[in-house]
Amino acid sequence: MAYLEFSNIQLNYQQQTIFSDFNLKIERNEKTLFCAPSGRGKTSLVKMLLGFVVPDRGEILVDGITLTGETVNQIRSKISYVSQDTDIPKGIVRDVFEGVFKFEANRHLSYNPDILKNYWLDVMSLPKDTLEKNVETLSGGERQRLALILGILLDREIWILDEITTGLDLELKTKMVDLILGYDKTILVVSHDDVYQNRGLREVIW
Amino acid sequence: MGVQEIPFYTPLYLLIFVVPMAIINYKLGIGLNKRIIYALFRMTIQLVLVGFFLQYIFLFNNLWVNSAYVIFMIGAAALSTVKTCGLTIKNQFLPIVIGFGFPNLVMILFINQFVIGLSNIFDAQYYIPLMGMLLGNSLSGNIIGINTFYSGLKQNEREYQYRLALSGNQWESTLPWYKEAITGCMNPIIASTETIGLVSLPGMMTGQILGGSMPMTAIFYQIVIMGAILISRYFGIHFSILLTRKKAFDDYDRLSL
Repeated sequence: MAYLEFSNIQLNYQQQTIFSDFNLKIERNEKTLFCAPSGRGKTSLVKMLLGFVVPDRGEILVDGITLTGETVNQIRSKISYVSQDTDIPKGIVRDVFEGVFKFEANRHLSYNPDILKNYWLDVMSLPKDTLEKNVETLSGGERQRLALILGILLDREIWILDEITTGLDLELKTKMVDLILGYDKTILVVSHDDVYQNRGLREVIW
Repeated sequence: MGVQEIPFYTPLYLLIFVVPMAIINYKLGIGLNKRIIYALFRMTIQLVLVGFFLQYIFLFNNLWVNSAYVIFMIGAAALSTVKTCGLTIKNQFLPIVIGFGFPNLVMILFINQFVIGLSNIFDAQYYIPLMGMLLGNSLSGNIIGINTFYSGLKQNEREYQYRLALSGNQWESTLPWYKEAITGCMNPIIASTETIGLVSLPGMMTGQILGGSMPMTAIFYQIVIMGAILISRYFGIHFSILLTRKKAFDDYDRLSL
């Protein structure tokens, strides 16, 4: 059994068939690039994994668990999700991070704001005072990088990265992709960006 | 010393002033005439009917009849909330009836028993009008609160989903909008509690003074009712959201209103 499995997925959206008898298997620690053309439901596919989009038919398996209303929380807690338009919770960055680690499901994780400040902000080329800023005053690119840090700190098995390099300059893009691909995780990337080419990702097109 | 009785025809004298209003509206093309006439007409019919009805209820002054009337008021208020907030009657009427019927009922009986110290806490003279005041305020608070909560979630669906993806459970993930809802519900009543008496005398006090009560007596009632309104509005919105949210999400924690 593969680590992630989509079997016979049927999904209609606004009277259009997005997926019909769609099947996909992804192995543990495999790094996959979804680069199907726009409108083919790449984002819907990853949102199905999180239970935000529920297929009309078919089954989704994550680490041997079938995705249902009962298991959705268990499955969500295996996934880090970062998207292009990630809406980071509102407030001061420091409080937002603390708030996320206070969620019941995250309390077992050790969270150290000093490491965030002294290490991660540098890695992501973010200014030192970012933690004291209000999320609403940050640029889209800055929010995206914060979401990525948050995703990494949550230490999940599966990473879903939906168009996260959009709007960043090439240097920063390359730096982020180098960093991400260095991790031993099951990584699902949704992107059209050339920066992922020739990096050994399995390309999935439909 | 009672209040001066008003003959049935003298309220019509007020129409003298409605005529110039209608003319001004007509000349300036302000499209309010129909609504003003309809509102005044409807208000009169409604109040006259309620007046007749209440006369009988006061005559009986029986625990069960009074309570039936109170329950009718709760039902009407709940229905109005469900409709104004765009909820479904099938799923959300009962939760809202309980959600704000219960705290208001507890509050009115508490006031009658312990604050006013009535020998019959179901006495129509206190039970019905005071409950009406509590419910009226709870109603507007509930509408603001419930709207803020559900429309906040709808408009910020991405942020809500992101919180779920960060492994927040449904309660944790909706908390920002829950807090907003409570604040939104309470803000107007806190403001009016702060300024009451400075700008205008509240309706109940005016009524009592006209009815012959001493100002200090009227003031004490007003203090009690303001406190009671603030408290029951607070618990009412908590209960209403907590009870309606049970059927407002699907198994995947997606808003399903």
